[in-house]
Amino acid sequence: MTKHVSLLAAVGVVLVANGFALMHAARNRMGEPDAEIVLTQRELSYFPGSDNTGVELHLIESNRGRYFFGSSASDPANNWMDESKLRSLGFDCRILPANPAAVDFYRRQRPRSVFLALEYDGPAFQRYLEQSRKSTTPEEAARRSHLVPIDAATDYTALRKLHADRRNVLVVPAVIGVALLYATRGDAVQPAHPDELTGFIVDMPRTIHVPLPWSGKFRAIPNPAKASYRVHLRYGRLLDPQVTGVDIN
Amino acid sequence: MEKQAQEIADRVRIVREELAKPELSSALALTPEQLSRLDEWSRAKLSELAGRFDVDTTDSQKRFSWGMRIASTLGGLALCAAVVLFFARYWGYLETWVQILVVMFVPLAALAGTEYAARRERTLYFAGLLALVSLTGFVMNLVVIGRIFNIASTEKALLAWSAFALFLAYRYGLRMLLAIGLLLLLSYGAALWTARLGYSYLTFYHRPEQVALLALALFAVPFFVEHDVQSGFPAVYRQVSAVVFLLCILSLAEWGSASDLPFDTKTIERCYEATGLCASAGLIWFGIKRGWNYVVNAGSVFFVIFLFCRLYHWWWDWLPKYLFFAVIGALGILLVMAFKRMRSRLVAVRA
Repeated sequence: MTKHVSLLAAVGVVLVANGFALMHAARNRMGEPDAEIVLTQRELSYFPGSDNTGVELHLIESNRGRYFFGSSASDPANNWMDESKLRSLGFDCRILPANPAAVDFYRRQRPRSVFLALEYDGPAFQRYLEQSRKSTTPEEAARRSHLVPIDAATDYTALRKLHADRRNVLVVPAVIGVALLYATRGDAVQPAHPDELTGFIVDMPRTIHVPLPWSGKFRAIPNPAKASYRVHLRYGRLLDPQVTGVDIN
Repeated sequence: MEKQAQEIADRVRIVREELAKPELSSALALTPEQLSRLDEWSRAKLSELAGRFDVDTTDSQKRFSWGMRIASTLGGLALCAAVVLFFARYWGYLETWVQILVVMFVPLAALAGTEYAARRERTLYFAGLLALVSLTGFVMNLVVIGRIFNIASTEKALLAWSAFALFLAYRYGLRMLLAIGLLLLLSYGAALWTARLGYSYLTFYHRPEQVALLALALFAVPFFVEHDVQSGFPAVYRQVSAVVFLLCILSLAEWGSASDLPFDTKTIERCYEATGLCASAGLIWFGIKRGWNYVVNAGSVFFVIFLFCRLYHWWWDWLPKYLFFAVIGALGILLVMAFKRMRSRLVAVRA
């Protein structure tokens, strides 16, 4: 028996790891879901792979953060990721953005694991649409995701309490980074706003697996880029999503 | 045991070859009877060793062994790619429960194949190849289950993969699996540390200091854990940890902003450059003292890299390019001379 301990241990590792993963999935699906929501092709993109028959959708949000769109200070739709919010997420913001040491100080801060609230087709999206109306065509605006990040916290319960609408607000684990928005560097023109801090989404669970029988419907779509569909999602107790229905038009 | 048997076979083979040379045979002046007895004994010894262990008794066998090792590693890697791509090609047509059963079956079936191959052949070429497939199957297993149920990834999978690789390595005496297992273990340790501090575990490599400290701890493991059966494993521990440690120091010397130290980036980079030079020189000294060639080699390679990086920072902008490369060439010659002296010292220590 002792001769085979390492062999049995290797088999045990496979069985235990699978057991944990399956128990996690079962716990996620048991009881009341965290959120149930219907998203469309705007929020869930589908690109079939030539060598991969699995169907996976990619979650897209609008207004990922001002860091990705330059230093537009007049962007009220995303003002929530400011210095006080970043402090509450655990970032060290003791150095003022205008301080010459700020660049090195904030570049060295690592992204933090938090919970992120995303609102679907709500006031945040309307504000965002109004704001970007001048810079985008109506066709582009129609293709935009209606899912907009609206808040973040390190405590899930507190965040869900603040955003209790489980049909329109998703809460997901995410990774947020801190960045400096420059206003003055290398620019002789009087800046419109001072240098400031902002947060941006580094990562969040974006891939959503579609099982049979719905995956077959996706594979049958002749032109995925122009397809129109609605996906019913159930975010479980552990915040992992599950596809519960698909309507393809 | 295998290693010791190979050393004995090498010594016997060298004695046979040397005695065949006229210079030595005339100096020893052995009688035909003595020569025949020696020949008989050496043949019997080599065939006994070849019967009990997987040892190479001739030079051509040694070359073949290396070729087979390389072929089995490349074959194993290709087989791993084939398994993953085959699954990706067809998994979309399977029901969820079938997908789960298939991905659980792959590592266990490959493990059974490894065990079967290890019992059939002493060389372990096929066993090593199948063990690699088994580990890849287990990685695919957990990745696919995570994808099927949309489970947010955590660092725990690294621990499971590491444990699996280490158990396989110790079971069959596979050094490559040991190296992979140790790298996964280091990654897990650093990822866990990062996650406990509230950061995303995937950013563990953003702070090389954590990985470097864990690599130092790993270097010390063979001093406390006896490896009577797998006598070649301590060398793998030291090689992996030395290379990882010096890579971390090198990255900090070049990108100081990745450090946790509360100093400005330039100061940190200078400190780590000095640390890298001292650490690699220290490894060379330690390797010579202990007679560990692989440690000396790792230390020498990194010493040269650290030195050249420093020279680049000093002189690249200041010197004309032809002069820069001429100076580097001259330094290279000096280093070769220094290393030659060190090598002769190493030979003297071993003698």
